[in-house]
Amino acid sequence: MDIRFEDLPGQGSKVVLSGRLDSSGAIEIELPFNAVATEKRAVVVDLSGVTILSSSGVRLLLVGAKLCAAKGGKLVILCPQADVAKVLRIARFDALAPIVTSESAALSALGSDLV
Amino acid sequence: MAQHAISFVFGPFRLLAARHELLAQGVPVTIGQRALDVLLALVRRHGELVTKDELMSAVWPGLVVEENNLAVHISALRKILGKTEDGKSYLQTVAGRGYRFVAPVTQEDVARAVVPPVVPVEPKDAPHNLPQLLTRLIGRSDELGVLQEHLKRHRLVTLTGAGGVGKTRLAIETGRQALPAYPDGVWFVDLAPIRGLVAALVAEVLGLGHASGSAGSLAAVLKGQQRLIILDNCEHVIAESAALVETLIRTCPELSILATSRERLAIAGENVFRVPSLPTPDATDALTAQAAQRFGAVEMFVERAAALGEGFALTNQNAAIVAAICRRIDGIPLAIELAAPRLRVLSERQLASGLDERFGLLTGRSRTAVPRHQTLQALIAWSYELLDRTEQQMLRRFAVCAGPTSLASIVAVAEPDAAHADVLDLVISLVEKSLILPDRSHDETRYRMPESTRYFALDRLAAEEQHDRHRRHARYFAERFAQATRAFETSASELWLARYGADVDNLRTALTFAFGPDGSRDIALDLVGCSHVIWSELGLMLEHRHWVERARACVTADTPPLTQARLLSWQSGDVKDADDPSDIDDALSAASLYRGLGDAFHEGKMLMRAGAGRLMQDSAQTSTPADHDSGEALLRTARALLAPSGDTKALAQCVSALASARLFADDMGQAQALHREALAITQRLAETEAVAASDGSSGLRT
Ligand SMILES: Nc1ncnc2c1ncn2[C@@H]1O[C@H](COP(=O)(O)OP(=O)(O)O)[C@@H](O)[C@H]1O
Ligand SMILES: [Mg+2]
Repeated sequence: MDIRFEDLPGQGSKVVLSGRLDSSGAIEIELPFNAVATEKRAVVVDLSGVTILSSSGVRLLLVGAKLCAAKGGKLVILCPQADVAKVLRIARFDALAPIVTSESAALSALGSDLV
Repeated sequence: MAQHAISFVFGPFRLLAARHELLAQGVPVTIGQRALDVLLALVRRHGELVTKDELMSAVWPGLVVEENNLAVHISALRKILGKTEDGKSYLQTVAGRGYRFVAPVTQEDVARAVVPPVVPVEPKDAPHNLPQLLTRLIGRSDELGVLQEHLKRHRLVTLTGAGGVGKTRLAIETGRQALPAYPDGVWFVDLAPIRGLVAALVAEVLGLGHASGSAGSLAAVLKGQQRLIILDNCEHVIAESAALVETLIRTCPELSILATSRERLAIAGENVFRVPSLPTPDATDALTAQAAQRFGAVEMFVERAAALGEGFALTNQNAAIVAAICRRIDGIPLAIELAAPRLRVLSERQLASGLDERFGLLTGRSRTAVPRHQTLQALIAWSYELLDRTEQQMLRRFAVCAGPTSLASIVAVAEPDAAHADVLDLVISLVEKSLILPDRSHDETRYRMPESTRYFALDRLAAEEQHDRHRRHARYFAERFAQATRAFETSASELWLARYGADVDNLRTALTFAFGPDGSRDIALDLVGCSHVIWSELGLMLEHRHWVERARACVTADTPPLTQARLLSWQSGDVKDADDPSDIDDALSAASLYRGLGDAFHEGKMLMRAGAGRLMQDSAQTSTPADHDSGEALLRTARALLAPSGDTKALAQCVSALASARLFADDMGQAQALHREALAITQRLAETEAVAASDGSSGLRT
């Protein structure tokens, strides 16, 4: 499991995840991921490189979304692969955070949260 | 019947599927039959990974073959194909898994190729979950054409016909052809393993939300979507399927349904298509081999017979007899699959007269009026009678299992006192007779029974023994999942799922029996208490919730505390409920039950879950940072309880959650240290597992 960060304008950050986000994967990235979600108001989580998402992974993303929301910010999911998107839908994650398929859509979903 | 002659074109090559011929710049290439089969299997699915097991069963169906035989053919193919124009390989090796045909391929329909239409084999965009079948589709071009038309005009098309006539196969191929018409995809849902919960299963296969477990809510979610849903084997749950389909059709104008069923669904707007058998030549036809081969049934028989590796070939001499065999079994594909293996021990003529005798008995001489389903029944019965007593017994008992079943499970359910090797012999001899099918798409070879055969065999199992076997089956799977739950703590999820995921149909069957009228509440509660991980790893949240609720309704004051604790140990997996206070309460109740039982590990695991849940609640409330303590305090207690059991997933999760707790308390130094500790635990777990796997302790491979 890999985690990388890119800065977005203003208060934002893009988190690029890749690999298997299962129980071991979640442990590998839990701390750095939560650190960003605690610090930033606007977080884009790029899931295009994630091949498997298990319930531990969903829970990790959920905490991230809640941490952002607690500061009045937002978390956006970018480009999940088909199987991963399916898990997010079954877990009703889409009710909690927007799931978008392009970077520009991600930025506009964040809108004022970026500044 | 017009035969589609498909050819695949890549680089300077043209691969003629029906003629089994490879041309380079129009000139036939010398290539071994097996190598050609390998090539065909790869080209048919070009761009996709085709696993070694899939290739081996495409090329050596039903046989157990050394992996390096495959490697030999691949390297022969590489030599023949060389490189593409831009110097790339045609074949890519995916290390340890299989091969992929990477060069661009176009498919041509030679029969119509006045202006060759260049059609990609499979449109890549529309999503689907259609099963990839390893045998070649024979004939059916007319039916496929008609069905495409039906689907354009009718929203519900039902394929009916006797078992084994080819309904499922035709539905899958129709779905594949129809992909371009359904931007939201084509979804195949097999209803055979279930006895209820049709809407929930459809919702899960389609990957739709929790909210869609009932017909009405599923319809609401599917509204406006251009999907084709294939419901296979509706006959098991005909009333529920009909009701669901009716609601969907009424509510979702863009949705189409293709159902297969022995009987029609009998609802308004249904378009029934009776699936015919494969065409057979008339008795009056004087037949050459070439003429006979044009009939689908003969073509299929010849292909299955040749695959036996006994040197069978269609000749001008045996063509008339083969035609007679196919006529006698009415061109029913499953009957052909059952009859062809008889050629191992009988000549064509003996097989033909054997069939004559059977059907003579059935109809009292005039054998014109044998209904289709009786033909197949008679053939299954004949195959059955030719088995020796131990094989018959094995077949009857195996019928209690559902879906792909491992050898170890077959042994436990059917012959617990026999040696694995002896059971394997029995199983292989049933595979050779097509009474059961090998399934190599799993970590080890598994075995399945075609539905028609399964019903036949269950009918032969005396009521009392049936009950007995079901009970044994349910007990065995309760134990297996209990063991799986323990193993999960120290396994990589990937390997764990490969080992246990395929048992979900057996789990469903066991649960259905255990909750049923002749079942046992005790076994049912054990099954539910031990299967939380499999449902959540497979993402089957609706089914999981259903069984948990049923089980919890059966709990009484007399229910043993361990059973209660296990039932409380579930996690809904639904985001909305993930930090639901009731989840935390369940975890705390389970923890105290485990404490009473002296089970420190599970007490710790439940406290960890409650602690993580509370931390999640706390972290969202920045205004009261002091609250972090309660979550963190639970996690600390949990850690102390988990640690004595050594490295486990639960311990790693606990330490990782403690790292987050420190992060939220702005103590980055401690947070980092705990994070490293959690990583070290997962690392050690992965290493131990790699060692265990290389020991070969992961089970018998056949
Ligand atoms: N046209 C065909 N070409 C090749 N194999 C076929 C064809 N039709 C059916 N079969 C095979 O015959 C067997 C029975 O067919 P199936 O579709 O399962 O029948 P049904 O669903 O009507 O019971 C299966 O093994 C299937 O793959
Ligand atoms: Mg079928």
